Amino acid sequence: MSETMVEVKGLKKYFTVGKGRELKAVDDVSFFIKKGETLGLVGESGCGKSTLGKTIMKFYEPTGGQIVFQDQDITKLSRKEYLEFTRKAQMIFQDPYASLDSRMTAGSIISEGMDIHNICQNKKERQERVYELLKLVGLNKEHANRFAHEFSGGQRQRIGIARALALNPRFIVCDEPISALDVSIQAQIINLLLKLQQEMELTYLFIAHDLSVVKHISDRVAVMYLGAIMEISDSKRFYTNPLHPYTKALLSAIPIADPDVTRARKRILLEGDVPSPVNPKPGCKFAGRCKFVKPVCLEQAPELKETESGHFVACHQAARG
Amino acid sequence: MEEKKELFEFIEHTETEAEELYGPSVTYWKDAWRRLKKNKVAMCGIVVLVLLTVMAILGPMMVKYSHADIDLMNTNQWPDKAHWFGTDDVGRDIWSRVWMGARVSLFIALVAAVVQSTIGVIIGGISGYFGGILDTVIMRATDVIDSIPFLVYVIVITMLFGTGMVPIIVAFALTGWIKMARLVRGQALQLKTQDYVTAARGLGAGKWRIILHHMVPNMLGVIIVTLTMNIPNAIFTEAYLSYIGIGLQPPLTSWGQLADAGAKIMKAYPYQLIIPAVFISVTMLSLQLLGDGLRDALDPKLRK
Repeated sequence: MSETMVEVKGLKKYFTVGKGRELKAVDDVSFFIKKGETLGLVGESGCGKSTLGKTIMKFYEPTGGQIVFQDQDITKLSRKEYLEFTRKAQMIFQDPYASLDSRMTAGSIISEGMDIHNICQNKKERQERVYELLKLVGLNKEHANRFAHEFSGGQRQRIGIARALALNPRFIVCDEPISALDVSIQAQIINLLLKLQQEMELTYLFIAHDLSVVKHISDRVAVMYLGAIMEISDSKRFYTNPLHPYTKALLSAIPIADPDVTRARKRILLEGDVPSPVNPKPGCKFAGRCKFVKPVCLEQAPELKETESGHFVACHQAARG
Repeated sequence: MEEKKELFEFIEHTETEAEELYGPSVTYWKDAWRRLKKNKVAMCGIVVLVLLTVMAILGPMMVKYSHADIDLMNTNQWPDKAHWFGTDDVGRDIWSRVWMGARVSLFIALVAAVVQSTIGVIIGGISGYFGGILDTVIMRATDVIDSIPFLVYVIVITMLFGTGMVPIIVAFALTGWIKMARLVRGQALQLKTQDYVTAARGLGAGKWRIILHHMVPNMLGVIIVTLTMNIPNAIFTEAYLSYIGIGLQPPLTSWGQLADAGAKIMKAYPYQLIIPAVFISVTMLSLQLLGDGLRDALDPKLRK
């Protein structure tokens, strides 16, 4: 068994929007996630982060490319293989209000996966397992009989986490699991996710748009812009030595709780808006807003190249040094 | 400070308190039934409907007159000891006619509504859930079926099969499902993109599990309200068909026919209209109260 949990090679997901127009939500993305690590995936709204996560989870059929999960090509799966896959990979959703069926009790939400896979021999075992999971995510036994709307946002997200854990997965896609929560609750959920990762040796793909949170939780960070990955590096180098102009601009926008530092530092302001992902122009996706744009950027899309060990960047200028 | 410490006793934190709050495991359906039982208005509706059904079975046996016996000596009798609801213009006992009519009206309404709803839910569900070209084909076919007036269907069917209960039910079934199908399709389209459905799919749930465990319970409120609206609609439509002579033929009767007959002589003998009208109204009211109660009971958000 290799050290890689998931590897994505040239993954594409296009949506058809009207006649001959294609929305390139994920466009030729390649990366890998090692076992036991957390890869933070950041980017603006609408840059394709969630689509990427959902495509890896096989909620969408990829338009092109390959997904390798634990040395197995999962790009095309039969129903049986998919069932097998769902036991190993799960997802935590962004909106804790929409992701729980309001007609079900917390107990039946959590045990749904166990029922589908016939994991439990009898009702008692199933109930024991539900209590165990509730406890694991910091809820009580008595919560099992309550309906989803009787919980707060943070509690709902905990139920969503328990549901994902019910099948003992190895890999979890966390699709902005905290962006719909209060800041105080965000920390609780982050700590819970970290605790669970340690206890259960989980691998996370952590999708977020909050760079400070990503810094806290991730081993490595990937930046996405308009469906393409701009830069991947380990977390420390990402924050101290960003190479891509887009990453630099993003990082300069993180608020720092020190007025002197804030006044002293220079914010990199990006001109214009994110262009539409429908029928994008050739060349670098970021070219339209980049200060360092050269003719080559408009013609040819830069490949993700390794500049230092483990630090990949997709930029004609940065790669040259 | 040290003395004060003795004033306080350390109580160990145990789980027992939490467990006391914990009731027996309830399923969604048990919980819904529990909530329905608490709803007095809805329970009244159930009681009235049960009483009406029981009386429809026993009512005609309680008097010595049959619903078809003509007694020209005693026409248009006001209610008295012999004829509890009086007699009609050819001397038939209205009490027994009302309960025979109840059998017909309730049967037609119930069967028609259930058949309509079943067809509607299945077609709408398939259309909405699978979407794509199938959806377009089904919905356009529905539009074509809907564009032909109801009366045309009834006339064609009575020409083919004659008059009676079965042709009427067939006519209702052929046309009545469209509204339900459109409604269910809309719901299915909306529900299938919900995150919890995606989550269930991610847990490995198949089509049927998603439909039965997630989509149906979430649509049930809308379905039940429409169903309870369909029943009075069927009662009325049957009455109107009888009026234009392609419904049930005498001596077989229904509430709609009784009301229609009563309406013709209501100035002289108002009771002949009022009696069936009251039964129709009470039935509809009970159904709607029950429907409302069911909708509330099936929605855990309204749990008190």
